[in-house]
Amino acid sequence: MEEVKLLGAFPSPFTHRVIWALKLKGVKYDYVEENIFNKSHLLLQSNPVHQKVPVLIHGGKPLAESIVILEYIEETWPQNPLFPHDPYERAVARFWLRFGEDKLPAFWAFFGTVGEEQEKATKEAKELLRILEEHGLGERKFFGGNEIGLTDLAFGWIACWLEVLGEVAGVKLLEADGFPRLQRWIEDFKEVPVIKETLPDRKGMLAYFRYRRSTFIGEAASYEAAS
Amino acid sequence: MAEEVKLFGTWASPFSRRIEVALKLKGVQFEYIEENLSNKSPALLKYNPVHKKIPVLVHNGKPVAESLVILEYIDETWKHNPILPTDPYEKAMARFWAKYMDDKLWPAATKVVVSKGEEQKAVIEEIQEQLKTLESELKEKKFFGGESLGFVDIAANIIVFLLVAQEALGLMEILTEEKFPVLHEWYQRLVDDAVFKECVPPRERHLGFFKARFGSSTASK
Repeated sequence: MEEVKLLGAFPSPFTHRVIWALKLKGVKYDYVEENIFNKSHLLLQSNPVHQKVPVLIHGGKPLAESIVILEYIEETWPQNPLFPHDPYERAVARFWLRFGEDKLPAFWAFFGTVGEEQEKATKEAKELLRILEEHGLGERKFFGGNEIGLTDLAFGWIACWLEVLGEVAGVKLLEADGFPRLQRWIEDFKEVPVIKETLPDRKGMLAYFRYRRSTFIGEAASYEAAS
Repeated sequence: MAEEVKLFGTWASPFSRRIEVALKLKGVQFEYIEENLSNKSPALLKYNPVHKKIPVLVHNGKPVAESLVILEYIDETWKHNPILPTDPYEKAMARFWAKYMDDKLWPAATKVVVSKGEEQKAVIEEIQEQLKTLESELKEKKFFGGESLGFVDIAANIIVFLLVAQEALGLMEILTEEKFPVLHEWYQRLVDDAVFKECVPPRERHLGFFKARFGSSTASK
């Protein structure tokens, strides 16, 4: 059995994607919490190109980029499959994974902006959520079908982080009746046992993201990384 | 069984050309439809309603969009002459580097053609840092894919477009043999490859394209 190590950071939705995948497949791993304001030598050595979390180190071999890591986990530990077998279904899933990655800056622009710029960013984020509601999720219970899959993990930030980011930035993106499918998906996603057990601590998240927002909009701030 | 494969693309798009390389490497017969991006066909809008972009591959009526997604679909559907490794770690690394091309190299390349003066010089330096990273990844290999063209080499076709733009706009040489001995040789192998070279835009037309769109006062030496 080769050693599995995950370098991550608790406020990172990218890290959680990988945690969820490993737990859903029952893979034992060592978790190393990184302080992203003081990155470890191991992190810098394992991901010299981007110097970011998460990094998965399997049998000493490092892998970076959460979407890449997710597919690697799926292929290496095929139990409890999180990805379709059919090439066309896989292409559809990868399309949405790609959509999620490419549009992330646009989804989150509201968080780093104020005033008119924030209004514009909020409007754009809602349009993207609309696309997910209508095209991505459609009539399905999960993006993965009847059970959660890698795409659900990739969009997990909508279930857990969006509300915190919104509260900190003073913006409400998912109005009560505006996105019934996404709202239902959020509830179903959070009820999956592995997800429920690993949701990050809300108070800690608020503190972290309050600090991040204040640095983005140029206010003085301080933050104590969780030990 | 009759198989219908259609590719919606444009002659000057590296993303569209990537798909041509993959289909040709695997000897897949396909119908090519040249799109006019200022007047997109109803078919394109139907097949890619989310992005309304090319390339789109339509296989027996079912559309696939996003070039790297299409490449993986092609590899999984027509299994001979594979473009991705079978080993999961090697495959993951190929995906990592292809993503690098799209996430890092492409934005820098699009910036270089629209920027001027000092800003342009800075972008060229940024691109050269990225090429340095690619050079150390390539090491002793003939191609990123090993002995033959693979997923990453196909995704790296952006470099061809970058160097044509460099020539068209009279920019300083970016991929010099001096700075990038390994990558320079790889590049020659890439553009000499029998299949790859059929899938680049015709040179004169391509030079003209860049001159017309981005030319005049952007030159910096």
